[in-house]
Amino acid sequence: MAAHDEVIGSLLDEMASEVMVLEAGDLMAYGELLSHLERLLIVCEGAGPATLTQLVNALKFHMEGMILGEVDDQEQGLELTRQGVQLAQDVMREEAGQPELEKLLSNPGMAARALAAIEQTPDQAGAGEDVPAPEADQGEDGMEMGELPDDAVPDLEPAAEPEAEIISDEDMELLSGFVVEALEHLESIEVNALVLEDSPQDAEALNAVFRPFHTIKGVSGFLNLKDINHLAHSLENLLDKARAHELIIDSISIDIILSGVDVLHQMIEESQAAANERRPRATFDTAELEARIEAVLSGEQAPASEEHDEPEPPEQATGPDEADEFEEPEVEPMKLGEVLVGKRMVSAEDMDKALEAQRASKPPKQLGEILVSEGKAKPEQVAEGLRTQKVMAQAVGAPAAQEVKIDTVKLDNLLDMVGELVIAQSMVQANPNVQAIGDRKLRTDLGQLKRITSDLQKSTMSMRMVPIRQTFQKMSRVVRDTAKKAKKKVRLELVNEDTEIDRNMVEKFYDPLMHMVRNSVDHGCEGPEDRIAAGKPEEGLVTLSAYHKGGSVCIEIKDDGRGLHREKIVKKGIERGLIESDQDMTDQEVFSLIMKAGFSTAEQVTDISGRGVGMDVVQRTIDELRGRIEITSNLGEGTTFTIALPLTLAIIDGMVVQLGTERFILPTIGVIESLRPSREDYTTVQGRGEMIMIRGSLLPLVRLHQIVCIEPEHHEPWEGLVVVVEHHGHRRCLLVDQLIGRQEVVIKTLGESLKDVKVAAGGAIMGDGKVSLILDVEGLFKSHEGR
Amino acid sequence: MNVQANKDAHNKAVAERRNHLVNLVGKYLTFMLADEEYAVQIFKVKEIIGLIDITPVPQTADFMLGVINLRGKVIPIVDLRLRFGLDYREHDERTCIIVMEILGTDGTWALMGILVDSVSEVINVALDDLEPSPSFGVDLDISYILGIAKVGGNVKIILDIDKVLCEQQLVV
Repeated sequence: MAAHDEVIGSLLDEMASEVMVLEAGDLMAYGELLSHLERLLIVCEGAGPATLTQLVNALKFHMEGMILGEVDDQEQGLELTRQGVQLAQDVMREEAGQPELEKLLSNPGMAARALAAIEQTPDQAGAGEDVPAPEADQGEDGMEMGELPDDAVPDLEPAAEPEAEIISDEDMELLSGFVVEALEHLESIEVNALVLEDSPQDAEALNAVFRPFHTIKGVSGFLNLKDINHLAHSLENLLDKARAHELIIDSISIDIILSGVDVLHQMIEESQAAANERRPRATFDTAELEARIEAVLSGEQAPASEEHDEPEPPEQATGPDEADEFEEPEVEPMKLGEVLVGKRMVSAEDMDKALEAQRASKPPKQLGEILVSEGKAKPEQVAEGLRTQKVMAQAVGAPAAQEVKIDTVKLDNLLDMVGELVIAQSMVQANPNVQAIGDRKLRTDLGQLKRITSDLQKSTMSMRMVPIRQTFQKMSRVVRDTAKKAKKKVRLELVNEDTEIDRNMVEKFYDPLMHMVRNSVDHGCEGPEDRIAAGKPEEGLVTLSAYHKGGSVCIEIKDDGRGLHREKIVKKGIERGLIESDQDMTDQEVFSLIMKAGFSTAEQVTDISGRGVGMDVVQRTIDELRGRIEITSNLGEGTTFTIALPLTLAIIDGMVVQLGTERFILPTIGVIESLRPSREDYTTVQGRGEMIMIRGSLLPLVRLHQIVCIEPEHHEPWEGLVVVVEHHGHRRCLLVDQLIGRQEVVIKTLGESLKDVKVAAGGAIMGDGKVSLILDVEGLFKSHEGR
Repeated sequence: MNVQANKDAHNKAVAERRNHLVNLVGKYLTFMLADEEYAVQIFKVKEIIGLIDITPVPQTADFMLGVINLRGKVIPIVDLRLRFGLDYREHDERTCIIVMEILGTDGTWALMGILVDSVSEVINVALDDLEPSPSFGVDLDISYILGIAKVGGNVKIILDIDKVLCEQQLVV
């Protein structure tokens, strides 16, 4: 199989360079080589040519002998190892076979145990010649091989075979790496599969789906994850057919690919879980999926492919991949000719002649065409050259942003330290003794230091930010699946997906976003008939957009569906006892009822949107993220949900208030206003409940000093200051001594031991290095009620 | 037979106690609290700092003094005097905070500070210096005392600091 050949090839290459620098008697290096040989042997036993297996086996025992000192002449022993590895490479290229192997083994320098080992497995000998080997271009990923039927290699036996063995410690690391990568691959497959569904002819998208499967197949085979390997292989086959233009990707195949992705996802996560818990992996039933793949491959369910069974359109006559040439991007890092000569596929003289011919021909012909028609190069070679060229063009044309993965703990530490640096810097600057120094040089230097520290703080903050693109792209799948289930046609449009958002927020925001997108598709957009009847295009449109607005990130989910029905919502709200009447209620207020617990306007609860999680869960998550949601809707035209979230979870926009000797921070989002009431505004109810009359409405008074147990400067509201705070529509007055100002502060957790303190949402380090508590309005209200 | 069984049980108990004490051999930081000398395992100590501004946290037990800023991290501070039910004493220039790494009941590590009267020294405790924690009757809870060390004629009480800081509710 191609993937195995690739793995074997790279292992051999690695070993070849290893033996070159190997010194006699260096036992450490011997050991390393031995472990490589063992790894190689595992791969070979599954899929390599028998000759190779035998050779590697012999080399392994030979090295063992070397290590154990059974070989007298270590230099000669090493030389034999070098020859052995060289031979193995030759075998892979089909330039050597059984006779060469026997010659090597007959060398007297060979460790005795190697010969003994070979003798024990004589039945493998001789079988080496007729095993299909890759084409001459070893190292290429052998895509041409894909058309071969499922090679009946033992590892392709039923996937449901339980893995009795438990993974070893060394493999653990490999496995974890594989799991992380494979999951990323699956994500990219998902995104690209949807692109492919829209444009089945897009060769780029097809390759982008194919390649990750190929990698997963290869690595899983190497790690002996047979079921994963098998499924990935089948899916790869399917895509390979499409690459060879033998199959047109339709929505049936996309369905299969997507369910394949889901199953692989489960399998891969299971393999990690099983390894962690040191138990055998659970098995998954892939039979149904395999059958579907088989059906498509055999053309049963893919009648579409028949129309396209004809060869490619005339202009592609020279070879399927020749089409690439016409789509070649303008940026050409290297001419095709140079690529081909560089790869030694065409000699320099032939190339010169062909170029001459190209200049002479009118209208200008494609270089590849000339080379092929003159028999100087095979079509496959030209195609390969074009592929290489394309990869290079991508590398040059679109320099991808380089990324590094960093442990978030390290990042948080860095942020802490930078925060401290800023404080230390401002403390130095504010020191009266320093300020008394009249040195101008010191002034400028301090100014410079200040600029640098604040820049440093900004850029460390930005490290927490990621583009929202990935989250948005995952929604394409949600829209597709939901629309399919609801038998609707809905298109998703993404706008400004480059907008950056806090990494931690992205994770928390995923579920509510998914819910809202489903909701828009399921309840927002109408079915095709209704849409046509309403004079709208048959296909519904859901638009996801993100933008920055005044220190927050706004995410908009907009559909062009039926819109919200005010009367219906009001009726339901009254029914459910949420409101008494809609008098004095703005549309905005009415619409926000749908975010309340126990509210659902859909006459028919579908299995998609009605799965127990309602919009109230969305509301709660948004509250947790300190965000706001706004709903606008026009009946018959659609609904827009706008969610405003803070730029980052790490920073809170706060109002600093003074109480006695302490400062407290109130999240600005919950602060309505602050004022000093007059004595007349203060009333008590039954002598106990204190109220303040503010512009005609009576609001309960909360004496903050009583809750936080601090001796205040002022005990009466008309001496101090009240801050009107709101939580979920409830307003109360908070009595404080004075308002210091508005400030953005970095939120620090108070730690595990103090997490049950309800009134404090966290701590913040103030400009003087002291900690101030960030108050939790909800917790304050609760404590107030509990008194 | 019965005698033998008793003897076995006794030997086993002695061996267990000895094992327990062997685990206690090592370096300790000692500090004073109301004329009593206490010791904590040195590897749990992150640093010792002088008294700094402590921000009180409401709704916590009285021995929870509040939180401080330790180079960008907010960590809670426990007054060990109050925690052990000793009398409150005005803080002076010898009062200091020992920042320790605490293993919480949920298995996570966290930094916490303990406020003590003064820090004494770092001592080496050998097996011969150790004695198991004595029993004081029902009035005194000794579950957070790992053992007693007698070094240089002084008695030092070895604390199970994880238990001291985690077992009792900090939040009320």
